[in-house]
Parts: sequence; structure tokens; C-alpha cells
Amino acid sequence: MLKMKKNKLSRRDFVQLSGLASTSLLVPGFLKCSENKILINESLSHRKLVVIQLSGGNDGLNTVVPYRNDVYYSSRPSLAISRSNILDLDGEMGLNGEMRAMKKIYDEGYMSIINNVGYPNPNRSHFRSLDIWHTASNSDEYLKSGWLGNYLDSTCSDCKSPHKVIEVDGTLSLAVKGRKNNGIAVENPALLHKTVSDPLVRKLATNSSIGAAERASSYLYKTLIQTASSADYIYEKSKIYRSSLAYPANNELAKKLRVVSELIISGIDTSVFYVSMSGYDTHIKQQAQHDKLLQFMSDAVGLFCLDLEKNGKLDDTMIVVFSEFGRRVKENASSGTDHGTANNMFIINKNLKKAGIYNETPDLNNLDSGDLKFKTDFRSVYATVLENWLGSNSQAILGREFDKLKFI
Amino acid sequence: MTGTHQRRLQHLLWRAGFGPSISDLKEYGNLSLPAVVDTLFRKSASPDFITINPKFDVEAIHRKGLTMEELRVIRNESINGLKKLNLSWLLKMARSDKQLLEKMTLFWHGHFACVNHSYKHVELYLNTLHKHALGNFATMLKEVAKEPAMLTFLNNRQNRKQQPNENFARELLELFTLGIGNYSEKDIKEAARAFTGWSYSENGDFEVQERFHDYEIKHFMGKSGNFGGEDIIDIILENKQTARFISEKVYVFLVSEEINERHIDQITDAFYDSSYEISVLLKEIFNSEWFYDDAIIGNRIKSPVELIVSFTRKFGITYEDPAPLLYIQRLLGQVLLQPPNVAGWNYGRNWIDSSSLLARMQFAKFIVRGAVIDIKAKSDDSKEMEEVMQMMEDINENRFRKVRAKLNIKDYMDRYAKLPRDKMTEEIEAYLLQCSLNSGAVKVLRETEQNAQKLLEEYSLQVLSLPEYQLC
Repeated sequence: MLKMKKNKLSRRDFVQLSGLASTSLLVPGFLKCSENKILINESLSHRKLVVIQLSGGNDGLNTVVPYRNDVYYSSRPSLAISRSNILDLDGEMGLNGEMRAMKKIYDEGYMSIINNVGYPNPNRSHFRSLDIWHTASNSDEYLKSGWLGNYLDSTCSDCKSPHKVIEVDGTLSLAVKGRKNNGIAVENPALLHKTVSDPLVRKLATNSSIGAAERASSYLYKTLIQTASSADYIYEKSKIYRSSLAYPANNELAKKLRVVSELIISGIDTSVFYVSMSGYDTHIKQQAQHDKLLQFMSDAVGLFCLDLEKNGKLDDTMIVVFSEFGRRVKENASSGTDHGTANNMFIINKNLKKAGIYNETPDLNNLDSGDLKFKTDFRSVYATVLENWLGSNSQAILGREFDKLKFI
Repeated sequence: MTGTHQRRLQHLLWRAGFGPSISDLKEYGNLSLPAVVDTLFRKSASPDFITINPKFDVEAIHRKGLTMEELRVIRNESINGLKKLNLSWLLKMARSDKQLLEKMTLFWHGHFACVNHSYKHVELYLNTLHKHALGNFATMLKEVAKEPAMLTFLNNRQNRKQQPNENFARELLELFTLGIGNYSEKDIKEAARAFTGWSYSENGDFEVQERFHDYEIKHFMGKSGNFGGEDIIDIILENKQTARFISEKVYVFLVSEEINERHIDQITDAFYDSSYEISVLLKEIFNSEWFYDDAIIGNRIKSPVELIVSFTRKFGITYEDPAPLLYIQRLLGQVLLQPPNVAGWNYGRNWIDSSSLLARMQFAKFIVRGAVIDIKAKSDDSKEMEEVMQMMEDINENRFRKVRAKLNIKDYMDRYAKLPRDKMTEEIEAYLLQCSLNSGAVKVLRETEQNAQKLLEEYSLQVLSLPEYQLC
């Protein structure tokens, strides 16, 4: 323990002493990123993962529709989508008619739809279920770090580059917060650059040192310096390529994916991008809202893929789309649907081992008090992506072993 | 008052409350620290409860044959009650003389984390926490377990002999008392049986519904008997691990994220030997020499609520409309009455990431200069949140992103304005900061000192915008 003697030094003396002491120690450990390399397969480091979160609980049954199933129609007298509005996939299932852009991707063989994804003892609270998806926890477990944050930690235990994992948003989700490192939230590279160009931030970031690790102030300065340096880097990259495609300005997801595609095409050194789109909590008068949401989502994903394809980057990119839960099979009294359980996920990539409908479709005759039963643990999807796409050690990141799927 | 004494005094006031005000420094400046501790307890001796809407009819929602419109009106009234409850409590924390009581109420709110849509039930729950926050932990635990908000949140109301619901029993053991690894799955099942039938009447009074209660023998932690819920709690409290678990959590909240086993042993013994008197536990902490160790002082990250409350207190702020404070809570990641889950908030480094740090550094400017908050909080799009924080749909409206505040800084001016320049800056730093400055911060402040036109104002605002100000 430190003795109170230190108080005899004035505050400024102390600062100067500690400042001198730490600058010389600062550079090597801070700039290098050498630890834990064993966990990562370097040859795959050009690969990108883009995670799209549909917040609010997307109605999976009206997204990928079991349009030959009578139970579907009888459960949803006002909400069931008529056959004429279905984009058929395999004669049994079809996409919501608004999802033409994603249907095209499906037809190219670039999409795999995984059905009945969930976890045991599902929680129907948005917060809690999102937490579970973000932290890859069991439903009765409370973890403090997210799966992609843990991935960031595993690539480099005290690294200089939070921009390895970028969330295109104003604030950061738990999913991208690690135990040691956090990803960085960037809604707009120019805006973030402006914020860190504030004279105070700039001067602090340039002239400060990071002191002893056990001091909370060191943690704050580490975060500040990393943020400033990543913000500059991201901003520089964002100026290299401007997309010529017309991403619609009223489509939030499209705007965010435009940021992502421009950064990827500019050659940014980022492995994971995280974006979310909200509005899926459709308890009341679902149809028109939901159709619009799916159209926006599908258009945004379609443009994004087109942009990457034109620039030769689609091969390096995998897109994963999820929502915190699906919705009940039966519609409610307000022409909407309430919180449910298992749901489908979309995986998009040019080199899928198994494109199309990946596994058995939802069994509407065998429900758990009105909800779909889950068949595939979402953490198996995570494990597969971490291991087989990003080349990392999924067991170390997720804290336990999950079966890998065979889509990649 | 010597510099060392001021720093230690401020440390105590930061940890046992929401930081020093100028009048605190005047009042406590010449007292010994143990005398200050005693004063803090004396001031916090009796609770003062919040009642937002005494006319609110808690039974109305149960009335049969309500139309959609009537239901909507009742719900809206409840939402408004919750918003007002949030803001009233926030401002009460800042203005109250019962600083220690308010601080510990905040702690227990995170410990017994609970979310509920019924404003009245949340108010009852909050007042119960407040009533017992410095009292006896055993009593508080039993009272909280019987709160309608808790009975609903952890599904004890659905816990019936015919079909036990283990949610409350599990969290009781895992999060409220023993901590994970100190009980078996069988213990959870048996405890759940003892809590079967726990419920409340329409007016919110606790009741055990006999037809749903399991009167058979339960086998819990090596004991057997026809246990009810309170018996289970008594058995849990006999186990010293409960005292240890609570002591550790209080230590992390008030002292340090870094656990020191020797300190924990010491405070656990005091707490357990007093049969769970919270004041004994706290005095053991505040009167220990290690509490004032240099490694402890200035090494704690203020939570968002602590940041808002302490700032409001320090500068005597009145808000023309406090609603934007809801937005700021949301933006910084801690909304009162909306803990993220039953495990409560993670205090410490978890508060800080790239965006929250930049937002915190602009916080003083938002308040003092009335700058528009140009950072977008996440739209959670969850019904729970929407119901409680309906206004968040309008987050793009400036009125929720612009704070109109009046500062009352007469005592601050009186104390510092007349000092010579170098003395002034030194004293401001000593008052506003608990940790030493980084070299970059020193450079920034020296420049401000040299160039400022209005030194007191500009220098203060610069100090309040430093990363160092995030610590206490």
C-alpha cells in the first residue's frame, strides 16, 4: 500500500514525476499487438463479418413464410401473407414479397437461411433476450462482456485499435464490449472526427501518457487516446472511396451499410462491423409496418452486396442477420404479434458450403405453449462464424464448446 | 484545513454521498473524519419518502370491462408517474442533506434490481429500499421480497405449489445473498417451494395465498422442515457467506473495484457479528485507515447518475425542465428505475467506452452552456422501455436534448473569485478533482490559465471537462 507520505508532494510535482515515469514505458507495450496471436489465424485477417441486428423481435414467420402450411394461415387470419405475395424459395417456404433484393441474393446461391434458432428457457423481454444474444450467455447467466468484444480481446489483449470492431451507431452495444477492450461506435466518420478534433480532446490525446494499469485514470486515457487515433484512421479511410450507388437517405439501415461498404472498399483494417435497425416490435397493426421494414432491410442489404461485388469485396464479407426473438405463431387481437421465441437467421456469403434453406422448417404443429421450439442454439451459429470464417478460437471466446454448423 | 485533510474529507463525501459542496467544506472543514462520519449518519437518521401521485388508483387497472381508451389513460398515468419518480429521486439525491441515505438507496436499487410498469409499485419498492438502506439487511431483504414490484418482476406471483416457478428463489440465492457457487440446484428447487403462494392483493398488500402454498417438508441447505419463505431467508442469513457477499458488493461500490481480502474479512466480521446492521458495516469501512489510502482515493469512476447528481449538487443547479436528464441518463447508460436486468448495473470500468467518454467530457458544457446534445442514444425499440420512457421517441427534438439550467454558484464565486490567479487555479483543482493530473491535462490547464479572459469560469469548465473529473 502507498503511504500517505506522497501527499507531501504538491499535485503538480506528482504529475510531472508520474508523467516522466510512464512516457518511457508507454510506447512498446501500447503500440504492439502481439499477445494471444495463437488464437487467430492471420491468413484470414482480410475477412469481414457484418452483423445486422433487427431490434424489437422480428416476425420470422412473416419474413420467411411457410406458405404451404395451413396452420400458418389459420393462426393468422389477418396477418398471413397470401400466396400471391410470396417469393417462392423451395416450394414450401417463401420470402415476404417485399424482399425482392434479398430474393435475388438467395437465387445467386449466396444466402443460407437457418431456421428455429434460439436458446433453452427463452426470455421474452427485449432487454434480457438481447443481453443473452449479445453476451452469448445461458438464459439464467449474467455476463458482462459481449461475444464480439471477447473476439476483439482475443485478437489482441491490450491493443491499440478498437477499430478492429466498429459499431455504426451513436453508442456502443454490449455485443462489442470486451473484458479488456471495447469496439468503437461510429455513426458518421466525419462527425466523430470532428468530436475528437475538439482542441481539448486533441491536446489531451497528443500530450498524455497512460499511467499504471491499476489506476482508473489510465483506463480513461487509454480509451481517449485509442478513440482519437481510431477516429482519425477511420476518417482517413472514409475519404478514399465514395459509393456511386444511390443508398436511399430515408433508409436508416442503408445509410449505416453505406458507411460499412465504403470503409471495406477503402481497405480498412476492421474485421467486424455491427449495425442495427429498429422498429420490429410490431404488437399493433403489423402488416404495413412490417412490410416496410422488410423492404428497407432487403433493399439495404441488396445495395450493400452490390456495392461490395462491384468492388471485388463480396468474397471477403459475411453478413449475419438476427433478431432477439421471433414472435408468437398466433396473431393477437390488435392485428399484431406478441413476443415469441425461436426465429430464423440469414447468412450471406459467396462461398457458402450450404446455401438455401439450411435446416428443417418451423414445425407449427409442435409448439411450446404457442411458441416455436428452438432446434439450433444461436451460439452454434456464433461458433461457426468465429471459427470457420474469422479463424478464431470459438471456445475461448464463447467460454464453452458449441457444435459447429456446416454452412461455411 | 490542510490539503491532505481536504482531500480525505472530500473522499469521504464522494463515497458516502454525492461529493462535497462548498457549504459541506465549510461545515466539515474543522471536524475530524470520525466526527464527520457520525454527522453523516445523524443527518441520515430518518428517511423521507417520495409520493408522486397520492391520488393514483392502483386498483383501477384491475377493474373489469375497461375500454381500450380507459386502459390507455391508466397506463399513461403510470408512465408519467414513473418518469416523475425518476426525476424527483434524481434531484432529491442532489439536494438532500441525507447524502449517505440517498447513496445507499442507490446501491440497494442496483442490488435488488427490479423493473416494473406500475408506477405505484415501483414507488412502494423504492420507499422500502430507502427506509431500510441504513437499517438491518435481514429486515430489508424480507420486506423487499414482499414488495409487489419484486413479486411481479421475479414471478413469485406465478409460483404455485402445483407448478413452482424458481425465478425468485434462484436470484435470491445467486444475486441477493450467497452468490453463485454457494448452493445447489436442489436448494433452488426447495427454496422455490417455500415461496409458493407469495402474492399481493389488488391494493398492493403482501399476502400468502394458502391454496397455492406448499405445506410439505422442504430440505434446504442441510435443514428440513415445513419452511415458509421467511424461514428460507433466515437459513440463508445464518450462513456467513451472505455477509461476505454483501460486504464485497458494498466494498466494490464504495471503496474499490479491486478486492482486498484482508479488508473484506474485516468488514464481513463486523457485519455478521452485528446481525447484519448496515450502519456497522459502513462505519467499519469509513473509519478504517485503508479507506483513505492513496491507492483508493480518486480511483473510482463515477456512475452516470453520480455524475449528474454530484454536478447538480455542487453548482446548486435548478432545471427549467428536468426531462432532458432522462435522455442523459439513457445516453450514459444508467436510467434510474430501469436497471438493465436483475443483476443491476456493473459499476466501474464498464461505464466507459469511446462514445460514453466523449459524451461525459462534454457533460459540463451541455449543462452550463445549454449546448444541444448532439449524440444519439440508441433507440432500443423495446416495449418495456417505450412504455416507461415514451418521450424517447422524440429524441430528435431539441427540447429533450438541450438542458436549460440555472446555476447557483454564489458560494463558489465567493470562495475562489478573489484569489490570486495561481492560487485560484490550484484551489479549484483541489476542490473539483480527487486524482493527480495526467501530463496532457497539466498542459491544457496551464494554457487556459495563461490565456483565459474569465479565468474562474473558463478554468472551472476546463477542469470539469477532463477525464480526471470522471473519477472520485
